[in-house]
Amino acid sequence: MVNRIDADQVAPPDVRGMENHDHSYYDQLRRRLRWQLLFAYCAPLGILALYFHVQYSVTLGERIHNHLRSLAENQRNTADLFIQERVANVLSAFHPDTLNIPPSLEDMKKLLAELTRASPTFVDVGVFNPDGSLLEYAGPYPYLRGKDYSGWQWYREVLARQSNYFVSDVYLGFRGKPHFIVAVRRSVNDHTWVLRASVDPDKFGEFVGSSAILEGAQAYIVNTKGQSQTISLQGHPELEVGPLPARTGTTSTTEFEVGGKGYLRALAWLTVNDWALVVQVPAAQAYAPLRRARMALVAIMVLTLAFIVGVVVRSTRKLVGRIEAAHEAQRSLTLHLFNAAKLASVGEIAAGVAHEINNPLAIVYEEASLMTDILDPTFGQTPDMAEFRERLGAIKSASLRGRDITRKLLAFSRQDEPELESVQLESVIERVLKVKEVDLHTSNIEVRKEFARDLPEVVASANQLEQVLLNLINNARDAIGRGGRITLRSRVENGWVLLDVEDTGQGMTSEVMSKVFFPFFTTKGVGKGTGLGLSISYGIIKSMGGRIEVQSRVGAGTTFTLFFPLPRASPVHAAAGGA
Amino acid sequence: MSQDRIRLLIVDDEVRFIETLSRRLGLRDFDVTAVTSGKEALKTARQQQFDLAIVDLKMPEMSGEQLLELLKERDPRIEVVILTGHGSIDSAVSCTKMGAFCYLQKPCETDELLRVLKEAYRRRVEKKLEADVDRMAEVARVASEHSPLAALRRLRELEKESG
Repeated sequence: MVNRIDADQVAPPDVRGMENHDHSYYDQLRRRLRWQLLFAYCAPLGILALYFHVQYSVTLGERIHNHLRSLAENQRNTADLFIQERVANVLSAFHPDTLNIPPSLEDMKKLLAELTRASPTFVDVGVFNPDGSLLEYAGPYPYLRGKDYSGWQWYREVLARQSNYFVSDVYLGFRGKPHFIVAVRRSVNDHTWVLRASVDPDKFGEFVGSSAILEGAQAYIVNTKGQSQTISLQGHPELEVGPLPARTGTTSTTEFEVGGKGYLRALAWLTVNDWALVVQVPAAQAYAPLRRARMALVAIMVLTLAFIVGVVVRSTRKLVGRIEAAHEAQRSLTLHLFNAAKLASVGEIAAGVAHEINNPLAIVYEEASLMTDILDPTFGQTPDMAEFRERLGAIKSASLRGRDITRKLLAFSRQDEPELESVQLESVIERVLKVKEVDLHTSNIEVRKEFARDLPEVVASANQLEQVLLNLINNARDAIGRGGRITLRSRVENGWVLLDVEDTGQGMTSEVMSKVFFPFFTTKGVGKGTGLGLSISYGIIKSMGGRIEVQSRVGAGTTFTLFFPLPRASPVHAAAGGA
Repeated sequence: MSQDRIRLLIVDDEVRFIETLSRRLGLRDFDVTAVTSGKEALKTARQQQFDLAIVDLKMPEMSGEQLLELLKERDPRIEVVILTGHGSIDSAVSCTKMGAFCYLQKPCETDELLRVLKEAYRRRVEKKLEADVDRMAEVARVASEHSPLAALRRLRELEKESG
């Protein structure tokens, strides 16, 4: 059974996370994190604030309207009571026990005194003959005496009414001054007599408006035509009410705008006559508590937001700083691990190289010793210059052989920072094979190379790639033992440059395969393998943007396939595009 | 031990090395045969007897360990000295277990190599002597216990065994 795995599925995360990140990555991460956190904190806060604000506005608006309505009703009750009292004053004054008909001037003066004592708002008092002329009068306008009032609306009303009194609207009358009157009628000997007392509307207005109701509010009384009965509306268009709608039992509140300013008005009908009490307040005044609450809310929101922004900025900076430091630490650890693994594999090949160096050294030693023997008379040899020259030549070439080996080893064990460049896979493979040549030859391992023609160069660190290939070839050799074949096969497939390292070794079980990319996992004996080779190789290939796949069959062999991303501008890529 | 010189087989894939070493040991009265592979060594060992062998470990086709095993199988009395450029404790232990007399690393000083070879040869001689004493005792026992014809037959067998 062939097992096949992608290293990405089984490699541990600490080996996987070896990508390099530059500054812009962390800036972007910081920004993204910041916005996400701000949204996460502020969105619920904003929704909550909006919800409470709307709820509070609605509740407060209702409360303000209710307050204004109850104020208007209170004032209406006050005004009602005032008029009822005045009617009662006048009614009791016109009682047969109180006033003789026809009255004398003295009676009238006494009556006025009594009335003004009851309420200083009374201005004068008069008694009318049944024909409608003013019979007797007490007050500041004595010239009214004898005037005929039979045509006046109020006179007709008081006679026609079922109730025996009438309260008029404010009017000028013969005196030419605004006043309203309370008139009552009385029948004496089948003749109807009328008593009238006039009331000062200013004083009534003061009384209505004085019970200071709400700061900035105005209270006044209007008749059905909307004319003010208590204060002058001149120069105050906002106080104009207009003709009143039909009387209702309830007190209404309205909001309106005049000259760009908002107002709130409550209108309550009086019960004694067709007047209504108006309480009006500028909206700004009425809604001042709401405005204050809104400002407080905005201030709290701004402070909270500033606090959140501060915390988020600080914490994301700290967090991303830590991530960056962790990545940096991981990167440096990976580099150290890479160098450690490299040293380990250098140690591994050093043993092989020792053989390579000791052999030419042995030749040098033996050649030199032989020449010494020839020169030693004990052995009775005749020195031959030609032979000596030949032997010295052998010494020289053996020394050069040793030098080549150390050179190869030195070139390999350089611990450079990995640098990505365009690399030809074949040349890297050849370099690694040169190091392993003798080792593979003496282990009877045949190396077969099946390179694709015109293979594009891959972007990689040649130094690191050598490391990866050396690891794979070492593993292949160890899996084979003695006598076998390693095939190195390159090709282009689906936008990748692929390199197979295939061996005819013992193969792996799926359990072993799932662990081969873990650091320190090894199937080799103690002291023979570090268990770092494949995990490091995996990390290296990942950092080049590639991946590793493994296929293995127990008893038949293993194939490691390296995937390198095809460079973009590669002509082969274009040709292989359809593949 | 009828011959005067020690019969030595050198097996190493380094041609230049065996050529020089065999000439030097030849100057020191060794009867040297040098070959470059395990196969050749076995072929030669079939044709003639050797007292000692110097064997390299890393060789193509057949490793030094395999050769050591086969040589010892053929002739348990042959003393094999391993001379390798690639020395490791692991391989030294395994070679000693397989009966190698000594494990030397290249390049090896002449005096050291000669000392080891002489000791190896002494060991071989001692082994031979011990075998001869055993044989004499066996001959005496056979002569006293068997009929003359059976004794003759047993002596011929012993002759064959001792080579």
